[in-house]
Amino acid sequence: MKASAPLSVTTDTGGRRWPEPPAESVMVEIRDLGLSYGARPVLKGVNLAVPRGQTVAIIGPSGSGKTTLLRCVNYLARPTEGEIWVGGTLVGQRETHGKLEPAPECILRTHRTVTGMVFQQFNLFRNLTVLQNVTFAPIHANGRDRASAEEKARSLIARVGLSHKLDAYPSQLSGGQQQRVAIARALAMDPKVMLFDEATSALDPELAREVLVVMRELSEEGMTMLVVTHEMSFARNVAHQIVFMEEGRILQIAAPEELFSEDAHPRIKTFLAH
Amino acid sequence: MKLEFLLEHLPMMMRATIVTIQLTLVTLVASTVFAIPLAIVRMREYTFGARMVAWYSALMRAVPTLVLLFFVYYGLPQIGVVIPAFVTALVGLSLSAIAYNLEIIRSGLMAVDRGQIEAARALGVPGWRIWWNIAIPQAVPVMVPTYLSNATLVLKGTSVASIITIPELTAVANEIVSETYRPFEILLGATAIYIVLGGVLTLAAQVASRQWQAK
Repeated sequence: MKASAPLSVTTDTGGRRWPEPPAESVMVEIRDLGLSYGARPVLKGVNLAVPRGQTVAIIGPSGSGKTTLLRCVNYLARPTEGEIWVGGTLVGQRETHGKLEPAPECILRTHRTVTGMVFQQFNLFRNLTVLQNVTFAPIHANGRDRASAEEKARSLIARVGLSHKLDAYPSQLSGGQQQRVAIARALAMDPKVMLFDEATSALDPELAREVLVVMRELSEEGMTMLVVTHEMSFARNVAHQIVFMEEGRILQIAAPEELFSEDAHPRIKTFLAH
Repeated sequence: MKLEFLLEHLPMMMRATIVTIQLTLVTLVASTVFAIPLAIVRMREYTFGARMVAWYSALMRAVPTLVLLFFVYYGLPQIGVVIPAFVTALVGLSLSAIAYNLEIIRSGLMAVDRGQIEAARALGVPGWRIWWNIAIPQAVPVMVPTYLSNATLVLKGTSVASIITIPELTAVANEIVSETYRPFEILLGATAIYIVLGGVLTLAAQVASRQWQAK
């Protein structure tokens, strides 16, 4: 399967050129995405469609643009060309007088509330307890009342197995526990898609496993996920599709059984061989 | 050494101590109020404003407070601005205190982990909320010990204001010495008062850092 999704443009009755939303069944669609820092291109013509409820693993050598691609989905990195669609909404752009313009920060904020992100370094708020970490965004970004935010947070924290740590500070938790809290914190916003940026790279194998278990459960429950990872067994056993990136491009998109077979691109075989 | 000389002049010195405390506190408050926005401007590395603030900070920290004070004291009347001596001292002392405080505040803010700010942005939390609930509460423990130790320098720096007729502790002590010719007793008394005042600030710095290290 080749990486391709044409940039479809329709002309509506007003005569404007308007990008066409992806099919209802697609949760995240990335079209012709490009990003350069000055003259240095980081992403070049990336096309990817993630159907609802699917998990896509993004693998590839360091510096290939995997993390940048992930950060474009919630516009922490601003692409220089192309489109990002999440849940039928064009992210990072808005229509003004019939033209598409870069969206201001306040609109980006709304877009970001529906994408959960989990980072390599956990990035828990160190001055807040576990419970406060999980309720912070629902209260301050979504305006939920404290009681209902706490109720939801408690059930999410229970789900990642940390009910006994509600009032602990991040510094009192192991890396694996911190990352599980970070997952609960992202889930508290009821995201349409979860982005994992090397979520287990900073953990030893044992702690990584407890995080991977949570990620696998999420995937099996039908969460749409984009997972940048070096955990090949996770990619192989959990992902519906695997994306291999190199030098800012997608080299191949394939089902795990194809990518981990003799039919894979020779470069990928080299990458996966040890 | 005769302590009765000191005891005799103690009430006068206590009145002078109050002037010293006033000048210290007002300088600290004024310099902090100005330093906070300047520190934020200074954090945006490559802007014109940031470069101006960086120059201001480097210049004010390089010039002795006494020289600054003379500039304000003799310079302002030259351009037709006549202000009371206390205000002159306040302006002169604040010019350098602002420079030090803005660097302290900036380094505190820089110490806040970028990753947490990014995580909050990724959750869609408004910028001011990130500052108020995440960045500032973590920056304050970093800056308070340095801030308080700098406050000790401000306290001692107020003695420079004796040059421009402010009746603070050093000026009054000098005055008493020139009347009584008992430098030892009087200066010993003044030193003791400075030690007590400085000790309060040092103690506060220790309590503050212990308080926040616990977490």
